[in-house]
Amino acid sequence: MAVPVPWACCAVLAAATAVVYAQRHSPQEAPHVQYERLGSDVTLPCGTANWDAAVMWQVNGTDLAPDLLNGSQLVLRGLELGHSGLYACFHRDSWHPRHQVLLHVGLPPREPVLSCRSNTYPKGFYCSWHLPVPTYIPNTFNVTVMHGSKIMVCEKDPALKNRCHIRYMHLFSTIKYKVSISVSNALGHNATAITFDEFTIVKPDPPENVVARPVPSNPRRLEVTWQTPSTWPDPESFPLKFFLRYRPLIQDQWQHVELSDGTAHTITDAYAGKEYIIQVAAKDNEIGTWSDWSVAAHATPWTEEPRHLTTEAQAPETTTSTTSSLAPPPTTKICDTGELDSGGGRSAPFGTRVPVTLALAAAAATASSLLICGGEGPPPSSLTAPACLPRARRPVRTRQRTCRGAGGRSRARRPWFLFCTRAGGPSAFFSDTICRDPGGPGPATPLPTTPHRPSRLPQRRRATQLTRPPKTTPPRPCPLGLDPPTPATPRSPWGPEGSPSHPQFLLLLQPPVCPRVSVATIRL
Amino acid sequence: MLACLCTVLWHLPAVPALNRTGDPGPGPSIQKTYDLTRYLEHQLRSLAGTYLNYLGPPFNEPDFNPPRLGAETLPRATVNLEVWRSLNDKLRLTQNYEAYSHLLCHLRGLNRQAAAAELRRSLAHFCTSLQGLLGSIAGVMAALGYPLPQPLPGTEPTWAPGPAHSDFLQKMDDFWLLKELQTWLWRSAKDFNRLKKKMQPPAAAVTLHLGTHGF
Repeated sequence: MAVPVPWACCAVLAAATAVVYAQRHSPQEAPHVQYERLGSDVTLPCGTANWDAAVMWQVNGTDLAPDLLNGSQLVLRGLELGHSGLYACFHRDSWHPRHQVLLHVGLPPREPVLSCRSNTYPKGFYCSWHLPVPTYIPNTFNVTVMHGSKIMVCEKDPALKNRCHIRYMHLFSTIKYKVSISVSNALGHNATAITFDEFTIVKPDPPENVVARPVPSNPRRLEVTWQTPSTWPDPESFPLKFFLRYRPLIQDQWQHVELSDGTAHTITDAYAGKEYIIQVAAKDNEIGTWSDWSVAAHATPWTEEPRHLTTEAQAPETTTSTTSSLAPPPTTKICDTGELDSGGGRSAPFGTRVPVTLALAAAAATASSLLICGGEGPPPSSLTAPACLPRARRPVRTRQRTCRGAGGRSRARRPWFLFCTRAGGPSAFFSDTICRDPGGPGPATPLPTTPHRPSRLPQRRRATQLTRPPKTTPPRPCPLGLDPPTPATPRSPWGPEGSPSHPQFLLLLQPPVCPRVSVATIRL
Repeated sequence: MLACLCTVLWHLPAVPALNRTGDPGPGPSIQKTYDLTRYLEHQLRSLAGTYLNYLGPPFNEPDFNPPRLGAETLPRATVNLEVWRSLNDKLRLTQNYEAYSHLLCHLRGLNRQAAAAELRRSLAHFCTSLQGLLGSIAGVMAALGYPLPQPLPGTEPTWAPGPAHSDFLQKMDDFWLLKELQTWLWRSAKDFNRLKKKMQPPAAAVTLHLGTHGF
């Protein structure tokens, strides 16, 4: 009797021990996935361990301090996104892994934002959605489309995961469409719906391939052409009308033209020589809303080639581009031709003496030259020859606030960028509006950059005004005649001589009568 | 339903048969008809707003989306896309003509004693314009040599007043009438666009491109 019992007992004991052992040291199962809400507190138990079991916790392989423990449970307060990770607890002494939790911290979904649009009328429409606030955990969306009592199929977009497409089965329906979307994740659920008529969601894509070209021999015209958007399936039966807007780059005010058909238009009131930005939008003739504005096109109206004077010692390469935007050639004569410098290259710094016409011609070679003319409106169509053109060794920048002329006219706050020469020339020519740099404080401040696409220029009162320079010099009347700048102290407004990165300026002087002066800026 | 003696409509003054020789073709009259639909649609927008306000909520709420119950006699603009595209000119014009005849008839029956005089005047003005549209469509059909649709016996829209509708159901009918009218005007614009393109000889080459769009 006694012999079999101990054997039986041993066997049972051994089995029990084995089971217990197996339980405690079972092969690691897949981690338990847990989602918790941002900002909340969570307590992670170490699997089935007792509260007082001796365990160590790690997150992503890094040990966690024991003060986070409550017995064998890990307590995390005020969950942040950084708390997401793989948490594991180990038997403290044997380092046997006991339990793993993959923790994801996130948010329940807010109400989704749903919108539908038909850019392929009458083929169909699409709906797209997004969450206004991210949830940081996976979400599933479910879209249903109802037309009255009929359910319509919304096919998922192959490329975008938050968009689906619906085909119109019937056109000209009086029954509204209702699109509902529900979003859910491990932490919550939300939904929204929109209803609309077939016609109200029609919005084409913007016109494509907008091209603007100058019209030869027409300095105030620009020809604009574009194409109907390729996504619009049937422009014949569902024609589009177009809205064109244009402005010179240096202005903020748009001009608008509405065109009921055709994919071309000629602008006839462009300012000569100014670069324009042009955009087009499209709309179905009868229904829906306007498309977004197209990609902008830039163009400058045609301008006449500058004529080369025979007195020039050397003419740089003639222009080949018809889009050069110079004002009509100045018919200025150059005094002191003996002093003519031949350095009229494109990159000639302004420190060298460059005759005005040469510089103009050089600039003409640059297709991207930009001309801004001072004074009211477009520059005069022709510059009559002054008696004598001043010419400088160094450019002089003046910052006079007012220049009082003989006639009492004042020109306030215009920066004058001059070529000035020794006043061997007739001072009468220079009239009284030319002000020299008082030689006052410091180097001139850098000029504002010429308009780069598509940045906008600072506010201007008129299209042709330049930004006012800082008012560092006190206003004073402009002396009659011009004192030549001392050669030893050339005033270069751009710091180091001839820094080509700044826009170069030229002053073209008009006839001796005060003070219509054009300021030409040429970007070399 | 409304008592409607519409036989008078079916006997529109006969459009004088156009002398085909030397006439500029139906192009100008199609354009005129198109322009009329746009004008009417514009007129209807303000008229419908006023009328729905007169009906009161929920009819004047933008989200109002009732199921289409009743109003079975109203001509429906909705049509299958492929069917619409493949309509021949005669059928297209006939459907437009019949639809507006019916709609005008119903519109004339909108007899609201309680409606303001201003509203009644606007309704009358709209009816007159709609009459003009009908005449214009008839002109196009005559120019193209199509006969005007005659009312089929037995389907003449004359009927005695049906069982007394509740006031609410009456308003529902009015709501659907205006909705259908608006939709028909949009559809007509598209219909006449299509006709216009077909009639333009230089655009013949362009209309052929329809096939390449994969319809």
